[in-house]
Amino acid sequence: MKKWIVVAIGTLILIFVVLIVLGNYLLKKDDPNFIANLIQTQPDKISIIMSENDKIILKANEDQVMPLASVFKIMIAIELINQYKNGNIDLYEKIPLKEIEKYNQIKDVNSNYTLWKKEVVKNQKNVSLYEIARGMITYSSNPNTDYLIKRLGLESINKTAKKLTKVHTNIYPIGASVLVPHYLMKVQNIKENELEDTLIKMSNKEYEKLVLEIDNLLENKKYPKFDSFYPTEDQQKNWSNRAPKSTASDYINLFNKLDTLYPEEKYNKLLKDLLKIDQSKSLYIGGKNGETINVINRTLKVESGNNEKNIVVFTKDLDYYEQIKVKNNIDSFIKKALKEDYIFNYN
Amino acid sequence: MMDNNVTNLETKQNIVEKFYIFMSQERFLKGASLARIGLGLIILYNYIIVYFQRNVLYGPNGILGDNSINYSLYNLFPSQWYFELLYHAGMFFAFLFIVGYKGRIVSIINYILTLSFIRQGFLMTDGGDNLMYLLLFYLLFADTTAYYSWDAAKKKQKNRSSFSYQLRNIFHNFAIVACIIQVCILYFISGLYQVKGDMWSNGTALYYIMQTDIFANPYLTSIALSNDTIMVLVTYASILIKLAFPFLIINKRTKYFAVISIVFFHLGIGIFMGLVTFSLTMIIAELLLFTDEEYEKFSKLTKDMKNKIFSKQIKLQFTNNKEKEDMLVKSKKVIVLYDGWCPLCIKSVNNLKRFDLFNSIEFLSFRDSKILKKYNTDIQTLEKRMHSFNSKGKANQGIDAFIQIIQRMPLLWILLPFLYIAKILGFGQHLYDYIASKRKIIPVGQCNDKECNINYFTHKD
Repeated sequence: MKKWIVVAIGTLILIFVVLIVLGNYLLKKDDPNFIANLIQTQPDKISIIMSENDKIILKANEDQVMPLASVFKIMIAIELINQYKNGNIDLYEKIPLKEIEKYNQIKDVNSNYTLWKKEVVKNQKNVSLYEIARGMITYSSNPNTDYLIKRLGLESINKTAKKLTKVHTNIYPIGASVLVPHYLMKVQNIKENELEDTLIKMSNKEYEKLVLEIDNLLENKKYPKFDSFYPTEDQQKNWSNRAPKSTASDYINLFNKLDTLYPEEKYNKLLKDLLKIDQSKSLYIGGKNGETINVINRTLKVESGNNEKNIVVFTKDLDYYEQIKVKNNIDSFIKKALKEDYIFNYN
Repeated sequence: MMDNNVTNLETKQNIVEKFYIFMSQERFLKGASLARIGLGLIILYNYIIVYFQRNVLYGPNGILGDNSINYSLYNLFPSQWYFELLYHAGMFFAFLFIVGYKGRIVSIINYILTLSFIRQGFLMTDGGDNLMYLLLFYLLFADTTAYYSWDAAKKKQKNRSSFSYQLRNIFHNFAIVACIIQVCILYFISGLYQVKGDMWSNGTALYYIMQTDIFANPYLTSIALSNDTIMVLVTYASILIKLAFPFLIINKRTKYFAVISIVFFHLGIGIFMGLVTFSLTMIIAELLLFTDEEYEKFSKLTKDMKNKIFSKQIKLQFTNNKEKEDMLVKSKKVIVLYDGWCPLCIKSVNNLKRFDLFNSIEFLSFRDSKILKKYNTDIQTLEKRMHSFNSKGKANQGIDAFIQIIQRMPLLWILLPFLYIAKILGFGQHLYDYIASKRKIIPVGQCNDKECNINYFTHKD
């Protein structure tokens, strides 16, 4: 009798261990078709569009309005070049690092900024505007972004974004937007169990007004002191869903005209250098990623020789499983798509 | 669309992946933490209840002591000081276990000491003790201090995608699943034994149990024994619920039914048969069946209900301003007008509200024009000093208003003598004015004034 019990328990544990190991392996295994399947099974969660030499060759749900996550930072880079071109700013002006440090209000959520400081800034006390913008694009650093927003002006950034796209909701400071739940609880005295409701019911206009109010308090150093704050998962989801929005087709159009945005080649090259991910003699890869708790976004420009391909993939409302799968496979999916392994179909 | 290279989702693969995600995410933390506290309290109770008889019962020369068949720490050395040391260490670590201090290490020590204590008292144990040390063993692999504990107070931010985090959760969830399976087996086997027993199948078992002296509460048995039909029904119901238990907990809705029935069953055992710790252990084991999500839903539900019952006043506030004022007057509340544009004031009001146990103060911002009209005071005076109004509409300002507030907060009465002295000596009001003049004002919330229109879009350039 006792022997059987040991065998039964042993088998149970063995099955459990095998399932866990197998599950972990499958989850990490390269599976680009997961994303292709997502387009079919959950079309409202994903937009994709790809162009070759300005001609659209693959598209699905490309006109849906999607949260951009960090992809909107491209607009700030463009506005930076605009103002440089107009002589409003000097790209190589040295800025004291502490000016950017001011926007690192919530240290726990700005690990990218810390990484940027460690790997790029090192011991420098001053950094150029260009370096700050590079940090915003390659490290997706939020304090860099907020500094540039202040420096360039929110109004002109939004004007540029709207000029270049058909649909683009307003961009607003990131640091202040992360603090919205904190502000509601600590200053407006909303109870924790009512917070979620309040956040969901708030209109986008009210939300934006609130963000600007918080930003104003932060700017004037009048925001109540706080030690640390880390938004809960629900708060992060709300934050991500409220982020600036646009469509994949708008961004592919932008990428298609990136080479000819300015009459002078010099400025186009500057912009492409800002967005650069990798470059060799005959190859240029550039773009901006965006990732939040429920969004994985990619925008990519690949030029080899005379051939140019752009691809934009936006997602939203991913649950935890989908988020992991998309995150693990989006790059291999894009690689496959660029090799034209997927066939399009105009419907 | 794009069907060339796309195969249908391999469902089997999907299930295994989702199983991994299910097991590697936080799920049963609150139940495990509650169970830790419950089991810890029972252990401590077991130590305390025999504290003054400990030598007679458990000591080296006691009735149960020095038992070489039993594997227990108590049997290593037959000396008095060693026994005292173990017994008190047992109590101390049970206490640490309840508090949730250094959960990983303390739970191991607590397990060893509790197991030794149970083994030492082998003649005094019951089924509850058996389940106790089994659960304590499984919980060694679980994170029982994630909530309501010393350890939780300094919790760090966790990274969901890190492997160590996932591995910890896998161990935790497996431990809890093991506990749940253990409980199911326990009920199922016990139900099967009852079906086999003649007294259970003809419905007279409870009657005979009630007849034995050790298992009967002398004051209550007569009540229980007075109705034959109920006795038979309860006997059958107990068998049925035990056999059905493993199946009922699979469904989310029937789970509640199963748990409530089992809890009542054990409450009955606890009250009528006097097996208090046994019943409590069984009931606490049920805590492990619920996920964190279910606990959150439950706490939200109770909070909503509490609000519905106790806060009719709050409801009135929203319905009708006039009605609200009447209500406040009737309830002899004090109304305090504060500056809703001053962060320091908002913060102080929030802090004060916490001490307002009897809900006897209503804080209103005088930046609201309706309120300003109602209390007929000009804004300059209000800006200078905080004002409070009693039920008859009489106004107090500055330090007097502050004293009136503190009078309604028993927890802060310790401040009153100082405030009275400051007032009588005459510097109280001056001190208040000094502090009030130092505050900074920034408009927040709804602004109707022209002054409040801040241009957010201005920038340095």
